[in-house]
Amino acid sequence: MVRESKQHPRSPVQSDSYIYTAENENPEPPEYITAVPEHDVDGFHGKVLAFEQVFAKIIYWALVFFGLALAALMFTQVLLRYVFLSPFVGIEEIGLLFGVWFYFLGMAYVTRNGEHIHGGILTLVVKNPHTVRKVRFVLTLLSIIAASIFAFYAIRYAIFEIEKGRVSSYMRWPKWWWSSSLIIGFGGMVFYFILQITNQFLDLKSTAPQGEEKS
Amino acid sequence: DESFILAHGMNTDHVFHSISESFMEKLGDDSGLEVDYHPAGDLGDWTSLFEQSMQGVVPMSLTWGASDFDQRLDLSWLGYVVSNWEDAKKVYGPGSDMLGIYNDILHDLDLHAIGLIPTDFGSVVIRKGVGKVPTTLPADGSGIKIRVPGVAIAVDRFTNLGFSAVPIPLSEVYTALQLGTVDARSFSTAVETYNMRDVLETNILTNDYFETAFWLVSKDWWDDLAEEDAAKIQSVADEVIEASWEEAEAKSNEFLAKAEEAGVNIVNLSDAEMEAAKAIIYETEWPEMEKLVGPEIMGKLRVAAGIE
Amino acid sequence: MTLFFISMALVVVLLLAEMPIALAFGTGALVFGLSTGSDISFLIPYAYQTTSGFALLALPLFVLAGTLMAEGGISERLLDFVNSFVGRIKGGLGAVTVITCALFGAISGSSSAAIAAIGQIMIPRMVKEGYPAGHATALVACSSVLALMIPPSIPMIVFAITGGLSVGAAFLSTIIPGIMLGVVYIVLNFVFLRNVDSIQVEDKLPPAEVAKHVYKSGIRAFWALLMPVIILGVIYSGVATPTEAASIALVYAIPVGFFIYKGLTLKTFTTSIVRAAITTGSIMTVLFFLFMMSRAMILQQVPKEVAQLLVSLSDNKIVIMLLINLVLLFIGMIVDDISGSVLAAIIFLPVTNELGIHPIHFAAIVGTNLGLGNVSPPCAPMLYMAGGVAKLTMDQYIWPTLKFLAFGHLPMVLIVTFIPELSLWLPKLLMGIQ
Ligand code: NA
Ligand code: NA
Repeated sequence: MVRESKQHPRSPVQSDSYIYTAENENPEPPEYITAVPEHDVDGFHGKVLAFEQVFAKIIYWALVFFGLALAALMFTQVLLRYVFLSPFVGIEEIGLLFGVWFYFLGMAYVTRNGEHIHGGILTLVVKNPHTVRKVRFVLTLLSIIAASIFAFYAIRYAIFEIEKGRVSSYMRWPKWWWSSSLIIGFGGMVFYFILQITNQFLDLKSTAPQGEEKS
Repeated sequence: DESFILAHGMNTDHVFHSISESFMEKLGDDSGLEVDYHPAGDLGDWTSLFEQSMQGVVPMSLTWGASDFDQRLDLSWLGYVVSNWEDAKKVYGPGSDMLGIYNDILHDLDLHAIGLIPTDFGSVVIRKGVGKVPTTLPADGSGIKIRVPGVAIAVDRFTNLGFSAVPIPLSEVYTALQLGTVDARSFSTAVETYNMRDVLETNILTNDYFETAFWLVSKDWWDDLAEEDAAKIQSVADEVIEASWEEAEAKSNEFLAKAEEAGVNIVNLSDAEMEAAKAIIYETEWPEMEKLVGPEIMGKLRVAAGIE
Repeated sequence: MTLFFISMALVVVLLLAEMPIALAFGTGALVFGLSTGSDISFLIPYAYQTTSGFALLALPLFVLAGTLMAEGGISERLLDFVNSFVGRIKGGLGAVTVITCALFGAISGSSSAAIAAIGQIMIPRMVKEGYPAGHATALVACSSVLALMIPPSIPMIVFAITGGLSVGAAFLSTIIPGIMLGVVYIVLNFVFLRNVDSIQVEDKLPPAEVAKHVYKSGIRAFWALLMPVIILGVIYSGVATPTEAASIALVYAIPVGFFIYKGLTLKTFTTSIVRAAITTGSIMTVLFFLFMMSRAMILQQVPKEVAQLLVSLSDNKIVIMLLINLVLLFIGMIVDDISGSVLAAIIFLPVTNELGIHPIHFAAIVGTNLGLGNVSPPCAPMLYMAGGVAKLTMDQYIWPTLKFLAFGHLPMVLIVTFIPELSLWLPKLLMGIQ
């Protein structure tokens, strides 16, 4: 699995020697909690995580496949069109099929790793780590609500395309082959946000300051 | 009061815009019908608007038939049904059978057409620097990469006419012509030729199809509308469409002249060249269409085209 | 309108609280859509249709190509070669970044492709040489806009066709402002870096030594140097679209990475592809949700109402022009550049025509302004994309970006607005427009 950092993404990609003074001046904010905890978990939670391992592996190899297939297909088109002078007109459609699966499986995988592109002022303003944890918990909750609504509409859209028998204009393949990538994308997003909020909840409980636990 | 969205995907030069403006004006302020007008595709391109009308999100749109929902809608792209404005009005104009034929298909998709909008005849246009004028078909088409819309009937037609057909979405046609990804484009109306004049050297009036668009309403929305509102909309639409025939033809001539003035070479097919092109379409495209829509509809069109 | 401002305020609060940018906009779009009672059922399909269009397919391919080039050792050799010229100048690499963006702009019509292709290589390299990461990110984000100002440009095509203008003339109108902006960014890059001590600068060498160095790194980079030659070659000769060119680059990078530079192994190969998927996925998610927000607003005619409101404030031509710039900037801040150009053509072109502004001049104003809107928060897709490529949080690159915009792009917008000759000279000279 690709998992270079469990931190909220901070270090620039693929570079080990960078100088970034601002980071040195601030205390490290609490570790960013993602969907997959590093320590062992048992019980139901553990079983879900074991399932997740399989799910993530499928996504991982699917991403490798779709990425390569997309590149190979577009390259083939160049050869067909300009070397063999006979373009295969369905290639753009199939390319987009691989493309959307690459995008939306990627979206689910990004959620798994907690690597969504973030804004970020909170940790500069709020120094209390417990408050930071609480805010992040609430934001994940909001994300779950929003993503669930989107997942609902994504499913409805795929069903619409199935019901209407919509087909692609050249290959005449069912269009839901494309649009169902949205279901997996948003479904995966909701799934990983739920895993994340579970971990955040456990983290909140285990790190709560003494005074607050009584109240 | 009833407020509804009217959307289309074309710019202010296009007949869609003048039709919309005249529709809103004639509807008036005191009809209790308020139009929320969205031109130029700000709510999505023509296929998306077709779909949004199916779902009732955009109750009214001016758009073409998206055959990915029903291949029978390729009928609206069928080649060489008519080749002059007079015949076009007879076949597609107010009171013709075509609206009913299309509505039989559209009703299955939760849509209803309140009218057929005439746009223009289609041309083949050639990119600057190509230097070819393919008029003898299929021989001249050989080796010319031509952009077609992403519908099967368009790909097949230009393959049959001898070209090397490349489907490219409308939004990318200009770049493809500019970069030389394709040498030519098909399905170009006069307004579109004028809009892309900077990269074009020749416009061949192949007139291979007559473009009509649908004035679509969502069927659920239409059926729920108060009877007098629906009647009002229908009568205004009829009035606007009647006037639009003259306007569409005038626009076609106007923009062709403007394109010529801007340096685009306008070429007509000779009678013999036109007959050769027609023969190809009647032999290849029409039998395929007959399999989709049946002999009854095709019989009517054969009479209209004067081949029976 | 009130509901709109409340929703935008909510988005800003969520952004500041470090919610994923995508979901902040998603939440905003939902709240706005639901509170205005508009139909939200097509938000998802609309965003899906827009992101799954053929035009964006160049993005994953460039990201894949960039990742494999980096992993395989191609990028490093390319940059070593470039650095053999400019490595002795403090800030030289930053200047190279700006120039590369402008050159890339000449083959591509989208700034996202520029960030994917250039940002991935240049940001880590600049950081490695000691540039502040925020500066490097801001520089790439701001310069990526040059891809829109140097033709071809997809939003400009949309604007010209929607407004019934000559696409060629509209293209020409932003060339001079684009080049000027590039020069300004190069200068600003040097100015902003003058007191940064962390940047490694190689020792000065006699010319003969420099030539030797250039030659040596050139030989070492032979196969790497062939790559841009191939990419530019296939695009300019019309053999391939930028999308296809990206696939050629990718297919070229694989054997070179495996067998010649040997940076790729089976393991690093698959992890690189998944890395690329993560970068693509995070960028696409942001674009997806921005399209959704944009749709929710257009459905409520928000941009149109804002425009009408501001234009009604004065009848002085200069004031109106300033106001129009303000609204364009605002539109650019909240919607994507393609929707922005459609709206500008529909809403403002009639107004500026009436004011006697030359439509091609206005095209340049729109082109310059929407470019600025692309990198100005809160809705700054190019900025966030650069941040995503660099894996930085917003607080790290927001100030450097605002500095570049305040001293570079913003003054350029005013110059373009009030000196029409800048945009009209080339179209008049080359196309004879009146
Ligand atoms: Na460009
Ligand atoms: Na913006």
